[in-house]
Amino acid sequence: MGADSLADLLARRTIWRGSLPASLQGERTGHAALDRILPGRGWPTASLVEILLARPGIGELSLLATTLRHRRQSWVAPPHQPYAPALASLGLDLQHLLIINPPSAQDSLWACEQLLRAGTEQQVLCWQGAVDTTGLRRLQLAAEAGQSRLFLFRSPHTRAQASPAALRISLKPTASGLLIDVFKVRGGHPASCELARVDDGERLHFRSVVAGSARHIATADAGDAPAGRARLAV
Amino acid sequence: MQETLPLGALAWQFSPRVSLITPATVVFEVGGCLRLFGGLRPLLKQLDQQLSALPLTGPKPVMTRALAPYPRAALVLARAGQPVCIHRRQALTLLLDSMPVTALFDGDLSARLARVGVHTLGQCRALPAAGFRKRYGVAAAQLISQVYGEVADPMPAYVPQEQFVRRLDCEDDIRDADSILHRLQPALRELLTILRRDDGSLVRLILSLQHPRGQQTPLTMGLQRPSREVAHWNRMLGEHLHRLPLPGPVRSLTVEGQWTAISGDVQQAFWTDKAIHERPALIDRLQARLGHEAVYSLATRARHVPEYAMQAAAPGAGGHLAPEPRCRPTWLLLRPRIFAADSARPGWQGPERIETGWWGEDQQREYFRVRGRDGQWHWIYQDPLHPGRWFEHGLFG
Repeated sequence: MGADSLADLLARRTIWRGSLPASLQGERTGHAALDRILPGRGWPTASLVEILLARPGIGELSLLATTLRHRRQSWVAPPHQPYAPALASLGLDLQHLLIINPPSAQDSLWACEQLLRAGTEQQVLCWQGAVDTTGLRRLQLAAEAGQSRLFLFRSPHTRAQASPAALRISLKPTASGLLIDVFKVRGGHPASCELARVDDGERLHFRSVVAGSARHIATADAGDAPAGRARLAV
Repeated sequence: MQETLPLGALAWQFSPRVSLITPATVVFEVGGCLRLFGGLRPLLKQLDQQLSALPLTGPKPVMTRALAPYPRAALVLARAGQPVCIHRRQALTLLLDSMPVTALFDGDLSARLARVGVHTLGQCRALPAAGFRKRYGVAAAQLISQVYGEVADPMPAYVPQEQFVRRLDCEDDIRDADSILHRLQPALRELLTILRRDDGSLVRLILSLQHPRGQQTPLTMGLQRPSREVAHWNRMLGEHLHRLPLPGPVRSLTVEGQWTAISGDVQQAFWTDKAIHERPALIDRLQARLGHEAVYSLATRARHVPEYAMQAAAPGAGGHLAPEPRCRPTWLLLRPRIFAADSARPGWQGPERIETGWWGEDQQREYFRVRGRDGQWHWIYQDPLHPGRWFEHGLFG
């Protein structure tokens, strides 16, 4: 294939190139460092987002704080009792929050699918992570059908499992805060960033670790450039 | 059981302003509904049809209907057996003057009036007003004025009986949810026609399934929002019935519907918000399958003891009922668990002291925010009077 014809092909823009930012709609996460490494500059809309973490209480809800605010949402099978005063101070609209405690894992997935498909919830959070790939596919389709987003909290052991999720991230606590590893993202590249957890006496929240995030982005970009080229060559 | 005449329900089909004076006497206003029925004549025709179709037992009673500009006047004319339609006030006054007092007053007062030679309403009016009031009471004078439309005449409003009970027998013993649902359909359709007639919406459906040897299985289906959609009732009933354990075959069932005149239909905005209309049905569906307590909202409460500062609320009824305290964990452990704390307290934040409950169970706690070795942020406390024993009460998610 000659260089001219390749340039022509690219000029027609019918080929998606991995190295170009895909035109994805995202919703700001509220953390600049995280926005920077996500293709839509935020959480993908109408899709499944997997969040892998070993145990609750490492800042997983503070991370989502911006997107939890003023939303009609449902929480399915939370690991502990969600504490209303803290949620209120996070800015959640308690009137529009439903807590659902299904008796079994199967019922949790049924509830998630119902909630997503109904299109009444702007987002659904689910802590029932034991889902097979078919189940994940159903959830992803339900999210698309209802134009809703599902945050699915799962164990790190599920990382090797195939998943149709638009975004998969894993959270690891570090000495100062939280390391966010974006290891699968539709229309983007794997990358990671770190947020520092700050206790200001009002609440615990996150602040971007500027130096850390810059370094991580740099390494991610360097690592991904060949991948982009390789994809183009295929 | 004595069968009462369904006069109130009958009149309710013609007018929203109905007063049931006695079980056999009803007054209702038709002036506002004439156009709906295409005028007075078609309305009266329909009314007569309905009256002749009343399920009556025993000898046929004499029915009189009278129409007048004032409710009390119509009542008097009907009681006096005058099947008239009077619009003109002058003619009405003339006719009323000749009506017997027995059509208005009870027997005792009528007898007293008869003793002084007063037999008609016209004669009553001819008496000096002050003297009549003094002798026969203010109430009697008031009634006279109301008959002639001189003063307002508020009457107790008839409220349609919002109940529907049907007993359905099953020809064969039925055992599964779908058959029960199938058997219910005629009753549900009948209920729907009643709801349409009364402009009501179903709030609750109560089923009782009767088994051999007198066993019963009760089932109550409540709806988040009053509904008039049979398809939605069926979906909900299906979920409930599939979850219901049956001790044996079903011989017969009783179904009771409770409804309200409040319509479940909400005025829709031009840019309609899907959630407002569809979330209640979704909650119904979730509760039907997962159980009523499995779906709830959260509300805050103004309490110092952290575990009491929150309560569960009906779905969608949660809210902020109290100012939020500072630095609370997003996850609360309902049963605090023993926490192995580092006595050096590295990087601990706190303390926050909470002392309350002096009137009963005294609570004294010192709370700290602690980052554990595994990266979790814990909310732990100790009793300052018994220091050294730490309990974990929450996690900062």
